[in-house]
Amino acid sequence: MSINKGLPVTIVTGYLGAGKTTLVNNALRKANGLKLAILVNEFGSLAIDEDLIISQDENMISIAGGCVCCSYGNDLLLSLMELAKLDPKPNHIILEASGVAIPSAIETSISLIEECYVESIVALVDAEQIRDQLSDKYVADTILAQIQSADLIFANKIDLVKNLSDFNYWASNSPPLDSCICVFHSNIELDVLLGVKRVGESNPQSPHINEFWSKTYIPSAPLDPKAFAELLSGSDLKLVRTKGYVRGTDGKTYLIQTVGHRYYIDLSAELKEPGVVLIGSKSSKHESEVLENIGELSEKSDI
Amino acid sequence: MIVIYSAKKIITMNPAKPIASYVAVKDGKVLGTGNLEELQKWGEFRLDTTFEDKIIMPGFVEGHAHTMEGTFWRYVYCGFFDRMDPDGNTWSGAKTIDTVVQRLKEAESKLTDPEAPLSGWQLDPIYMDNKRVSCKDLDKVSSTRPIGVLHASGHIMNVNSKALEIGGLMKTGINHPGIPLDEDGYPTGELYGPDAMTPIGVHVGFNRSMTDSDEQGLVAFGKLCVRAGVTTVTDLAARLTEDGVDSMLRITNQESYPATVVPLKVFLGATPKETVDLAVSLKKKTTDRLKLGRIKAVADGSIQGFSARMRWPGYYNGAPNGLWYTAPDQLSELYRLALEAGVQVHTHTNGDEATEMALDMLEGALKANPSPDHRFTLQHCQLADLAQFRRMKKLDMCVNLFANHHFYWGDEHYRLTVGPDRALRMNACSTALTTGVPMAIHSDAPVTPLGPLFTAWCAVNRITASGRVQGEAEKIAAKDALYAITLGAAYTLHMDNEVGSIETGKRADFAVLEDDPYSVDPENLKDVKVWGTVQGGRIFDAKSL
Repeated sequence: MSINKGLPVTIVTGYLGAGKTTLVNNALRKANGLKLAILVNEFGSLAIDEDLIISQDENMISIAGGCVCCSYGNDLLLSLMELAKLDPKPNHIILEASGVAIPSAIETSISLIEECYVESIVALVDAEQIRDQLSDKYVADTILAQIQSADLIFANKIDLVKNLSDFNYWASNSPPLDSCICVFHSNIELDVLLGVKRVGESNPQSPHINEFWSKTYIPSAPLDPKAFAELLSGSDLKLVRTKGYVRGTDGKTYLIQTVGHRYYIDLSAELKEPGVVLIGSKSSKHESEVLENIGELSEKSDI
Repeated sequence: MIVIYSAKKIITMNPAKPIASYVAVKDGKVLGTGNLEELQKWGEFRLDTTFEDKIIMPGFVEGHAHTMEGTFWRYVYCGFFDRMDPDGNTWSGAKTIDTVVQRLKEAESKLTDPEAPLSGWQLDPIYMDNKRVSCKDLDKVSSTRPIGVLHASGHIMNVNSKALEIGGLMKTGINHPGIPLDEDGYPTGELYGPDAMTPIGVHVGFNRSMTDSDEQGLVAFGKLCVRAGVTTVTDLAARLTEDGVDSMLRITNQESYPATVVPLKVFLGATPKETVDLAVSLKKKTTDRLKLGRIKAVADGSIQGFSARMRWPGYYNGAPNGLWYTAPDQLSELYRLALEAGVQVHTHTNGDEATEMALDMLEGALKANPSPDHRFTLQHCQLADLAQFRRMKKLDMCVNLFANHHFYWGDEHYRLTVGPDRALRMNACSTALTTGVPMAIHSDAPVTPLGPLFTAWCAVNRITASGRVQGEAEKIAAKDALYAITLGAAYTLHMDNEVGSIETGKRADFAVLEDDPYSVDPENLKDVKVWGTVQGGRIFDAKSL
């Protein structure tokens, strides 16, 4: 898949209590120069420091540093179209879906407008509640549909789970939760949530990320970008995200991005030094093993 | 000044004095009913004989409508059935696509701005052998002006090529369940569901605030009320922005405004607490003709749109289960906070699983906050079964059933959506009565036309558009239907102390009729002519609006 030229949107899905609002609050705190546009169903419990609010009306709050928060009510697409018109343009939109929304349906709808594209779908589940919720007579099917359409699933509030090994055993036998990443306090670094934003500006740097490991892989030879992207996003490595430049066998430079099983490949206008940042979690393979595997597989499959 | 009105017959709905020939009115309220001798003792009076040959009933109460119908009448009416506009002109139903196109062409020729969009409403190809309408049909009207026609259900829209082009959808490769494609790979121009409709809707006159009536629309809606004998009407899913409330206050406070409007704040885009707080603060702005401080929640979608939440075995045609519009936990919190604050909540439930969910959530909330006389009401509640009605009774709930829906879409439900067994019990008015659940019946205007006598006819006869009686067992008597459109609906709004019957102390709200709905053959109930209304003692003659 090639990247649409519009604004990247990360859809954050999850039932009530999964920690979506905390995640959004964290993102705002950590934005650190990134101009984030946050779309929420309701302002409700957004904890924005009064001092940081530059202006506020019924539907939008502008925050010092260039971030904005918007409530979309019943017109998500119109809100997205309006956000894309903002000057300066946001770098990234985080869309907090309602607790019963089906994110794949939102993605299909967003595909209708040219202003934005869905970069990834991130699901949060309440690790302590999820087993009960998945047998709830009203919301089980809704929550299952949410996590099934996610690229990354975070089992949040893992600190509240009493019997961790029991949870891990259950999750590993309950796809798609077998690939879930355990976190607490919705503590997910922006590089993980939104993709590594700095790659390509200078030499690729592996960011330091709590709870996650990150490494830079530098391909030793030109490769087939599609096969390589499929490898990075495949079930074998279970990587969280990757982003970087590679040299294709055709001699051109490609930008590759993956999140979970989703990948994007785009021809780069500039010639970049090859190098791909890999981000993994505890559920991925060990970092050194991953690097070794990529090397082996690259050779073996003639990538 | 006391005015005593004479009438051929006054049906009061007051059991102590059910029939009278005179009614005395002072300060917009009823002093009393009876004969002239009884009434003249109140003091000096003027006798008004305007209604001498008319039948007077309590003004009708429409418990589920949307004032946006007033705005829609500025668009082109494309419905299949004859329908009267606010000015009293009856638009004949458009029976074929060609007629729809012709009608749009006529409207188009009157537009002077070459780029102005053209909007139509109430299209329903179900009655035209389910023939699909495409952008090519609408292109015959204009290829240079964007055109959009909303379907009667409100869930589908047809647009022309120009509208697709402006909205950026005139391309191949679209992969969206709400946007069917032609053989050539381009969209057919049919847009299903709000997500597909929104990006184009804004270009064809249907924008974000579509559910809000503008001032001109609210005035037009008032006229529709007079023509239907309605003196109290709900606006069941209002956004109630600050400007919106100001505008509603301004219009309804005009001395010439003929109805009391009851807008319910829709629970959307705000937390349960914010919504309840807003309802509490809005309550203070209530006036005689604008009653604020109630909430409307929406649990699920629609049955014909397959977005209603169904219990086993689901849809008859095998469509997957519908969608929650509000999470159970959110509804539970809303109920709990609303009960605590004394704010009434009406909840839209279409599928029987949505009804079950609302019952469960209210039961829990009531255990936390026992609240005598809360009158929380289920709206539509089309598929509830006997067991669910028993629970409603136990939980002191009210119900407002969608009797009109049975006429317009009953055949579709029988054949396609829910199948015969459940179609027969849809909008179970008789079950509501036998289980003792306080009941109203409604039009959901503009989805179906505002007209409580027609709604009563639907509940009494249960005839579908094709002429079949569907669900003999759920028919109700005319007197029960007439109660449902007056006191029954007033009760669901906590307004039975103010309106719904003609008796001492209540507002002087009358439906003035040409015939006696209690004497006509129940099959002709819908044909009883409305002369106009009296609202708060003010006379509104439908002929001279």
